[in-house]
Amino acid sequence: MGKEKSGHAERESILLLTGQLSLQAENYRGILEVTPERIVLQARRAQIAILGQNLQMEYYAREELRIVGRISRVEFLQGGGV
Amino acid sequence: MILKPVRFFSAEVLVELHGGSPERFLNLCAARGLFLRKVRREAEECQCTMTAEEYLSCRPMARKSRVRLHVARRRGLPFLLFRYRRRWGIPAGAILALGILFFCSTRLWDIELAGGSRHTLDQFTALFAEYQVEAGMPLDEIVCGDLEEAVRNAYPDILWVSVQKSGCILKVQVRENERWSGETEADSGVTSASATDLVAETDGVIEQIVTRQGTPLVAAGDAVTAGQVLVSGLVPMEDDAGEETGSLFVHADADITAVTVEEFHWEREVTGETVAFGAPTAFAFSLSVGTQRVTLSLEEEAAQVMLGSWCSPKLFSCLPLPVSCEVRVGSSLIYTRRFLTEAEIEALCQAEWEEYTENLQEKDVQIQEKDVKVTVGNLWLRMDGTVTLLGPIGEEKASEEQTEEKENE
Repeated sequence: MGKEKSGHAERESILLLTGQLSLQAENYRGILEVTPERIVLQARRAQIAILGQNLQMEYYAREELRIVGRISRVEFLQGGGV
Repeated sequence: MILKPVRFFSAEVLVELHGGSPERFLNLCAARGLFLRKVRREAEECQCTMTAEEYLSCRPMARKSRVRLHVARRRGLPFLLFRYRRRWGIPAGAILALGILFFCSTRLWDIELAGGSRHTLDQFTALFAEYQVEAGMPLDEIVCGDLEEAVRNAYPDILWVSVQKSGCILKVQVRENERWSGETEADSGVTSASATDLVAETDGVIEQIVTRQGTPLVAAGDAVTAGQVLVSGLVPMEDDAGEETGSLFVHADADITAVTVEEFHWEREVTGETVAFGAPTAFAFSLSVGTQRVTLSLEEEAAQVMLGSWCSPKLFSCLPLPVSCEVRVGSSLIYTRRFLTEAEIEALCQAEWEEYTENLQEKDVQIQEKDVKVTVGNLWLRMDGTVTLLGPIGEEKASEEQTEEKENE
């Protein structure tokens, strides 16, 4: 039980928010939507929606990505993932 | 993260994704290990930036996600070189410029002088030219020690000299002997091997005498005349009984202070002349490359005076370019004569008196009394009078006794 819990924790998404200017994310499965107002990431258990204005991804790689712009809200949407 | 200046050396493309599923394309690229930058959506299409190699490898992903790729912009040095591949003059010119710069940096192009007031830069330049040191020669061939010795030998009034290479400039620093009288041993007849007396150069009354070497012939309070021996270089030698057994010739050395009276006289015309420049009538342009100079002039001979300035550009502070130019403008001089005002007369007299006192101070001479009158005539302005001074007295002269002995021999 304990080992399963620690393994789950390692695969959870990590978000590092720097004020309203940038958000750095790790441990995600992919991106679902990219628009200047909304970027949706697929995490392990849910979907993460980053809302704001003039959003763009400064870089996008397999391990991490960085979203810059004016971030107004971060939402966790139920559904999707394993 | 690759820094922006470093990214310039790699080829990057801005790719637009049309149709299909751009998000799936991005996920497939990320899964394959591609690094995408500046991913955003512009109107209907998505954009991203990647390297040219990554673009060539992402076609299967585009096919799978049914996305059409369009290269909107190409950035980077490889694209720049390809764009100007036929313009070989640009790199050739850049290489030639670097080569010329490198060549210039190994040569001497300028000589700078610091310190001193009696010797000009032209004198040093001419002296160095005698030792084949001039503009355009390789810096490696310059031996600073030899040049320093040459300066010391040529100018005995220079106490200290330093010659250093600084980039393409030869920097000469000197310190002159401010009390240099211009006389050398050969001129005065005084050598280190001969005996000397201290002789009064003017009339006066001895105030104080401290003898270090020689035989004093005067004491404090004695009145002396010009040419009188104050301290003799002949020192008699006595045995224990006090009898004179011989004599020794030395350089007389003493600090002698005396009160002297000096006449002060100065005069000048009571009118002043002002000079103004007329309208420009001549023009000259000179271009100098290394030691060669070309001058173009227009009516230069007719002008009374030519004024101009040299422009010697420097690439860096220590790399002067071997090219300089000068522009001169000539004109006639307009002389205007008028009488001096009272204020101007007073200022002139004051300036002359200050200069006189400064000269005395440099020689450690004090003014005890002054009786100077200013007379303004119709044509002449005069300052006449006497000044009582307290200062050092005594100049070295070859000892007369030794000279007589040598003649008798």
